Amino acid sequence: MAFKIASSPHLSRNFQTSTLMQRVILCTLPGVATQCYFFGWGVLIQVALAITVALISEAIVLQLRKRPVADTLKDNSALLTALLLGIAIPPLAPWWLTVMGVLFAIVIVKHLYGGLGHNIFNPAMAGYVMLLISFPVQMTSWVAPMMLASQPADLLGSLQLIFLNPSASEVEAYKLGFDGIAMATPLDTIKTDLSMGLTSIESLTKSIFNDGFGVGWFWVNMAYLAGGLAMLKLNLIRWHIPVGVLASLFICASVGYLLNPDTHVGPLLHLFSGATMLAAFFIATDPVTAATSVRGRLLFGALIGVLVYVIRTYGGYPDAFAFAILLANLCAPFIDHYIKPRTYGHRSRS
Amino acid sequence: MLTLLEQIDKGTLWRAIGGIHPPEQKVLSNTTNIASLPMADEYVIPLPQVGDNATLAVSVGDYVTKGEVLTSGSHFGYLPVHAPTSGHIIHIEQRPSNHASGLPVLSCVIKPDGLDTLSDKVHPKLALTDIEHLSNQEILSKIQQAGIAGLGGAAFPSHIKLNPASDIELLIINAIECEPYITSDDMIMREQSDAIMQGIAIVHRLLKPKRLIIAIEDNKPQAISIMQQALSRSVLPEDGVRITTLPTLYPSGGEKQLIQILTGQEVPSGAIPAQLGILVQNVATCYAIQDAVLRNYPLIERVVTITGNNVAKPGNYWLPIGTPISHLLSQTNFKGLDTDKVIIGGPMMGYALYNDSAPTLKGTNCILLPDANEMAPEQKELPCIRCGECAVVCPAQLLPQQLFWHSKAQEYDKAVSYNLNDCIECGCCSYICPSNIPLVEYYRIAKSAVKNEIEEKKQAELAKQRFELRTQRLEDEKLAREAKQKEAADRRKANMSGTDKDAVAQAMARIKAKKEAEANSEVASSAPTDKRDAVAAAVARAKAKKAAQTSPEKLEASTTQDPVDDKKAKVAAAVVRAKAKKAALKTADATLPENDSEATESIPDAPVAQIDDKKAKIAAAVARAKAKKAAHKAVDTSAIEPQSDTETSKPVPDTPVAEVDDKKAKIAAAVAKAKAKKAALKAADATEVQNHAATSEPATDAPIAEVDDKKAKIAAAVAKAKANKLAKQAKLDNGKD
Repeated sequence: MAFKIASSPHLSRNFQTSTLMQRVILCTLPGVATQCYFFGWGVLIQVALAITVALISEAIVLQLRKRPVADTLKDNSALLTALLLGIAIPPLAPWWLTVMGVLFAIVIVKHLYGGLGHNIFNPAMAGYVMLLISFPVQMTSWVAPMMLASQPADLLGSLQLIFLNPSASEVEAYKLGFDGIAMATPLDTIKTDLSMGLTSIESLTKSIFNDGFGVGWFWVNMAYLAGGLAMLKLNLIRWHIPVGVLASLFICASVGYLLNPDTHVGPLLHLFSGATMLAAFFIATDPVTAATSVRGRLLFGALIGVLVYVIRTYGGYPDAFAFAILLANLCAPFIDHYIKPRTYGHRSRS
Repeated sequence: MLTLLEQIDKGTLWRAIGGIHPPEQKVLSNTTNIASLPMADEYVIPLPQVGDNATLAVSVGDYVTKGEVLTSGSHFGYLPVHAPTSGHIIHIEQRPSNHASGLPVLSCVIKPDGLDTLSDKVHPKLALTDIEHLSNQEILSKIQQAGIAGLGGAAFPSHIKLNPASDIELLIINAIECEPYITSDDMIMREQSDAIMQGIAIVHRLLKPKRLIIAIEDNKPQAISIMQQALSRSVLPEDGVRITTLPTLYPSGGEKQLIQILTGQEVPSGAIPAQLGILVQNVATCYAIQDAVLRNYPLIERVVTITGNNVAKPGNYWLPIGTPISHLLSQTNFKGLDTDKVIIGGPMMGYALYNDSAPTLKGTNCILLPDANEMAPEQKELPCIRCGECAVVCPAQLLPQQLFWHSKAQEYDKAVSYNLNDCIECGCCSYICPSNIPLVEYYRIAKSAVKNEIEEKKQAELAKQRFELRTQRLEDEKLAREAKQKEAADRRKANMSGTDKDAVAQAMARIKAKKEAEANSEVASSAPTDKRDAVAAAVARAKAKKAAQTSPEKLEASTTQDPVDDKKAKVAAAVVRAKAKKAALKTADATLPENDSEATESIPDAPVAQIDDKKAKIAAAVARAKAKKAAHKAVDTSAIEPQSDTETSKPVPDTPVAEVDDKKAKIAAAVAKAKAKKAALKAADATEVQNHAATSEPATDAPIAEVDDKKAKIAAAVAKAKANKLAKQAKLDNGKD
């Protein structure tokens, strides 16, 4: 009797890429929900729009590339990219901004470089940076937290603002706080205040800061941290990159704060502001564009942390994760080339 | 800081690198005692060493008893094989091998007689004390003669392994059995712990290690406690011998991984553990060693786990080595289809067997018969997302995805630079890969390609060497040949006579003469113009020499230069001249003496050319005669008194000499004379004198070309002279007229 032959191993964990992506998406949900809570329906609308565009554009590109469409779409990677870009775009940004960003991310950054596993840059972040450079006004018009806004946007209002090409004054209205002053993100506020000669302590007394943290942003970051810890627990990611990012950012911020508290913000504000937790756990850990070895990943994460601190403190942008991650993406092959684990039985060190 | 041995005594474990926790599935087979199966119809014992290290000791038709050796050999690496039961040898032929390739291998097929008669060499079991007098070499010899190989899977001959070149400080008994499903070591430890301890004691005695660790994974609690009790009962010293429990992790049973976990040391790449003073021995092999040394019982059976959902009676069985897989499939109620796998070994490193007629081997510890849902489903390979999980689980600390990348791109040199050859093919990376990439398969292909490449390079190097040697040889041969030829040429030159040298010079001269003859055709008319005339060569030579010395014009003008060494010829010539003078005085015309003197002067031309004195004389005589006649005729034609007749009779005494000497010369002379006469007669006709003179020359030329005789030439020359004379006479006559 003849039997089937196959190469060992015959066992498999049977844990597929699609499952991995799916679980990562599930882990973002606490953060997304928190973001919705603080910034309204716009977040969900952008995410839904981004996902739709991503799936359609990926299907078309796959068709053009003569790749299996259904099988590839099932790997959930486009879904995750769209989700991350959707939550990074200002909630009330016009629809075409999201569409352009997603198309750029999926078609150019991902598929023109060979598709899943071959892209050099994180598609979501590359799309975000493209938008940020091309449309700085729209990309920095972040809405005020619901509880601080003079005119919180409801679902219908959000839809109208996103899809119906509203006038600038209409959009502006949603950015005003209840005190009638246009609100920016906490990091934006501090940056502006410091440039106006205020100390960071003085800046923190503003209404957007609540007990030393930005209203809403603290909890959004906490929610993403919770999701990230869940991913670690589920072995969806390894700890090296998030720890690298957060530790280096913390260290840099602490040193800066200790040297000059007036012109620097404290390390905790850095860790719980802006996109810190989202980027550290969900974006920097994108395996395709990160370094692969254990030490390489620590270095990769640390590099991101340092770059974020430098750009936030000395650069022209209030937040810097997208730039830092893209720069680190560039370094990943280099890091992989030079940081290799010592193979068993090879004595490079005694 | 504790020393390594102290840490070992404490039971310290080092961190295992990588590794996975696949579902163990050991309970399927470790709940029943080790059983036996009914005897098979035939047993197939592969003889891989025959033709290499071993020769056949039996032939078809022989009856063998259980445990009888089938091969013989004296090589260091020789490992005997034995009959697993008593019976007749019915075939010695190529049979499918128990190997992933299934390639046929020479096998001895035994048809059992059902009696299982044990070889008389096997004796009742001795106690350890009974073998104390044996030397290590004797014990090793017993182990070799029993054909004991490592039972963990690799089947390395134990007598070689247990005879290391260096001292062993640490002996590790490997009872890890980390692969899922396999329980053969677990079960033999539970059932044969005392015998195993005896085997370990024998190995301990051979190696005298400072420490001995029996390493068991913590998923075998029963075996651990049984072994603990057996250890306390055994003769093994209490100090330095311990049972260490390891946390379950695949592949901590790998030799290198086990050493790393137990000692924190790494076996250098390409080295063996003995270089670290460490030796790892499988636990089941210790049982076989005990059987061999204490009972003289060869390795003809072993415990095999038969497990998986495709078999109704999973469990462990004492199986004779050489049992066809098909037999044990039928005996354990195998319910699989041909779309299912028959895996030899565990699910991580075992290979799928194609043909179930292959037999079990010494290293066959498990036969896994999974159903369709038990193993990984066949799934499409997806793109690598560089998740790096493979690197995390790799126990060799490789970068599997880089290896994969380069292996897939067939950049094997780069794959090697990522230490491809340190891959132990444990399968952790493939197991963990979320993209279903069969990484180990890629590495196997790359490894064999690298191996081939090295082999090809070696072959190319050999070919190059061969070519260079051949070129060198040809060059040497050529030089030798040339030297030989040169030597021969020198010898020939040394032996060469003067005549040979002359021959060359003559040949050269001949060529020169020919050229000159062509250039001066008018004068050289007397010379042989027939190139093909070989006989005339000698004559031509002489002429050529002269020709080279003096120009033909001079030759005619200055006769005095010519070396006439013959006195007689001179005398004769003088006589002729004198006579001619006299004749001239007598003649009224004063011009005649001139004519005569011219004629006589022209005579020496011929003898000078001929060298030979006799011929010269003859020629002179003939010339004289002719001259007389010519004078006579001249007288006749000019109507002078008949005194000339008397004068002509004077040279007569000379003529007979000429006649006696050479008839031919005479004949020639006669012919010439006749011709001369005719010419003279014609000359009498005064109108066509010039014409006649011209025609007379060709007439004399013709015989020269035809007659190759020297004498004939002489005659011809004489005739020529005469013809000249006649022509002049004719001229004179004409003038007179």
